[in-house]
Amino acid sequence: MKKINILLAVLGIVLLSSCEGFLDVKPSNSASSETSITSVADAKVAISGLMRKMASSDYYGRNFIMYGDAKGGDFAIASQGRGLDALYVFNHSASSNSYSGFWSQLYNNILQANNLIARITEIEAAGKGSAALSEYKGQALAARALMYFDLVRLYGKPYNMDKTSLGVPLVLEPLDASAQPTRATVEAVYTQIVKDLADAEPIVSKAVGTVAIKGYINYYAVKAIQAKVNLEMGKYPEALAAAEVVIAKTSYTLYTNDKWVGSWSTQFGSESIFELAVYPSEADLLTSSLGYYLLRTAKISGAMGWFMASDYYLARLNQDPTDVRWGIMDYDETSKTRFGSCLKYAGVDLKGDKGTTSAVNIKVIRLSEMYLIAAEAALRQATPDMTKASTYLNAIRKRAPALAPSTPTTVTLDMIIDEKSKEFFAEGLRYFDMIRLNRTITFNDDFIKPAVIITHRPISIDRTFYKAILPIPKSELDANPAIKPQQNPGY
Amino acid sequence: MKNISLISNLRLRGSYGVNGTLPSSNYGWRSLSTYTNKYMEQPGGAVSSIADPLLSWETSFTSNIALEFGLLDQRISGTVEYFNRNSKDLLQDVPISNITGFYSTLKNVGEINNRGVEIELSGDIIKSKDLNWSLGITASHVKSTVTKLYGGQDIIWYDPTGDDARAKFIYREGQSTLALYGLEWAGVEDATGKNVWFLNNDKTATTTVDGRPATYRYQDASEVIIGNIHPKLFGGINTNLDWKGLSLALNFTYKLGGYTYDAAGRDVSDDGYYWERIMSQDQYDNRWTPEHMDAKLPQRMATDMEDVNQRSSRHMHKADYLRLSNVTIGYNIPKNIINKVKISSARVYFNGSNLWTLAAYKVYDPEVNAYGTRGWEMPLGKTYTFGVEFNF
Repeated sequence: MKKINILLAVLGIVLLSSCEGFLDVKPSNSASSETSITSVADAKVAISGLMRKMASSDYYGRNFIMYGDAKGGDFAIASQGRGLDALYVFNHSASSNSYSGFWSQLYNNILQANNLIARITEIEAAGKGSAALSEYKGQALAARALMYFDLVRLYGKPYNMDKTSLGVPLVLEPLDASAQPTRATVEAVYTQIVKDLADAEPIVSKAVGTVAIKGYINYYAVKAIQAKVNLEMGKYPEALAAAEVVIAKTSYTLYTNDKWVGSWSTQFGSESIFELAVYPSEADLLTSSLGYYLLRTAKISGAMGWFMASDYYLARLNQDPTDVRWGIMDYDETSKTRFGSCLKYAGVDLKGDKGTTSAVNIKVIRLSEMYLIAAEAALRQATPDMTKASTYLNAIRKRAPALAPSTPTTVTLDMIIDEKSKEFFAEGLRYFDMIRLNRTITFNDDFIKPAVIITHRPISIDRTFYKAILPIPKSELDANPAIKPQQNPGY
Repeated sequence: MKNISLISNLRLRGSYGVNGTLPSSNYGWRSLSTYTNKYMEQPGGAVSSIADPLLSWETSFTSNIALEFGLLDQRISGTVEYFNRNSKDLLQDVPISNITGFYSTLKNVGEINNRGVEIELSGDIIKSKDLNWSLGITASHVKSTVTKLYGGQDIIWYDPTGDDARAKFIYREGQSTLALYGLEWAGVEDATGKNVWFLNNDKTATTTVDGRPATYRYQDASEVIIGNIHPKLFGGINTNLDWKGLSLALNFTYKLGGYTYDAAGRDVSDDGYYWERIMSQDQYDNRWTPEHMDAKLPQRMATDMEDVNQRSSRHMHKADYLRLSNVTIGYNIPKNIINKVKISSARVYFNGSNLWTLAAYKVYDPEVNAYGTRGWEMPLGKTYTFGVEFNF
């Protein structure tokens, strides 16, 4: 009996060990990332994931938009401590209010883009590439360029201030867990941005308004990003040319005065060159959304009134009391006659663009911005084209019907920048423009004085203020000793 | 062997063993993509973890030796035990550069040693027909140290509870396995009500506290090991008293030494910047005011630099406590009464748990989680149970 038992046991072991990989179990709800992208459908899934992450609250979903306005002088706060007010008071340190979400979210997104680009490049090298696959690679390249553009403006000095200073670490492929990257110069980052956009240009789709392209990046979005980047770099002829490609595309049209307010209640309107979709139960932030944060406190349950327009902004818009852009402003908590609360992200009827107040798309790049970039570039290039500057400015300036249009002799940079402020309130552009133009920003601190005294910054700042850029977060310095000595000065 | 009438039982035992602990995540060794990033109601995928292909399980080598004894015919009995456990390939979520796209990765970081002594003593103090009283005590002393780190470098890690990095720890060779890391708070300046921090570096001090260089700006201070979560002694005391059908049982737990870390403090003990938030009673009572200049917490000012949000010894409190964790009073109804109604046994009892606590730091419940931190968890409640037990 015993001998049979031993025989059976030995037989059992031999049979089981011949089942190759029987103990090798794969997870059922995830995939190995090295092999997760092997086809066009896989690439689409990956690009969708990337777009969703770009709509995260740490990026275009909310915080990046707030950053561009809270610091620009057009926003004011009524109370301290409501949240995100550290952006307004500049209460930043490496361990407190470092807004490390920008750093970690953007690098996570860049990893997704790098992974997609690397996998598609592998597939193309094996000879199995296709136009459809290249299109997704182009989208990933353009997204990466935009993200580096945003990162370098958050953490590095402006290009036209000191391009040899430190920018951000340049990562172009998925990294190993032990990697300890260091910062590249601002110039090196911009060179990569320009290269990525140039690589993306020929391979992305030229479709406009199709189901496949709504919410994603197309050729015109690439051109629009090129316009922004070239303007930032001071390359005016290139900026003008890129903006004009978008302006010339007749599928994109400016909103007429009677349609301007309604455009904030519509998805994928005629001015949307790059719009990130925010659907319910996806990137929907509910009462923490941009829309809710900008509503007057207690206007509806959950509305907090975190920011409102500053006196400076209201004075500018009040140059014409019939300006169509008053239509999207609501009275704020300080008085029934002060229209400082903004309804862009909730819609005039608080129903957003899909029926809910919070799940509202983010219009990252609009056609109006292309017109104003073209106007500025035409004005500032070596041989200014005043006619173009004036014509492009007027296309937007007519939204203030009582103001006389500019003419090739009266058009000035101030008029263009003021128009940009009026048009793009709460769209995250003002601070970056002021820094690029090396202008002094004066904050509306007397709006909340004497209740709140702001001690973390002077009442007026400019780009020489050390807190004009963010600190590298403490968690990064702790985990990456190589970058520790490269912290931004002053922090 | 000659019989010794004093000793009724004497036994020596020991053991040695090796066992392994699996990593907390089944797939920590490979980089995964997951599909939870829906976009426009279409599936969206993303790389969601970073891999260490050499990830292995933790191996623990445990040895222990114990002496069991009984005296005076088992009237007094006890055990003294010593154990030593060496763990290799310690698994830890290690923070990595965020530039990789992730905050941390599971790695085998080093070796730790846990060793200690456990003493158990129990005795029947009174043993008679009507009255019985017994008492038992257990006491443990465990020393837990990091013996080796594979990278050679210190590893900073965070309390994983609640996923919001509520306490900061450091693994450093020769130090405790739960060494709290943060700024060293020097208290409140009596004259001004401001927070003061010990510098712990070479920068120029703006003030001194107890002869040590200090500063008003937390940004200038360096972080150090501020405390050890592990207690010096912990255990329980239990006692039973029986008299003519009445029984009383008391169970105590105690801890001496060690610290807890208050992670909820930054939310409810804010120094004034978040003036629209709730404030804890303790913070309100103990804040500095011109009338109360020797207060232990700083003045509430709207211009506060958010000092309260720093991980520091300000939020570290002594963990000593003695708690009556269980009380049971019962009465066995005499058989001559219940037999008349055909009940074989009946008992009435009252049970109370967590009724009384004596603690070194009185503001929150000293029984905290395994990491020694307290956040927004529900504190333990007191329960009172009354009951009747019948056997038919």
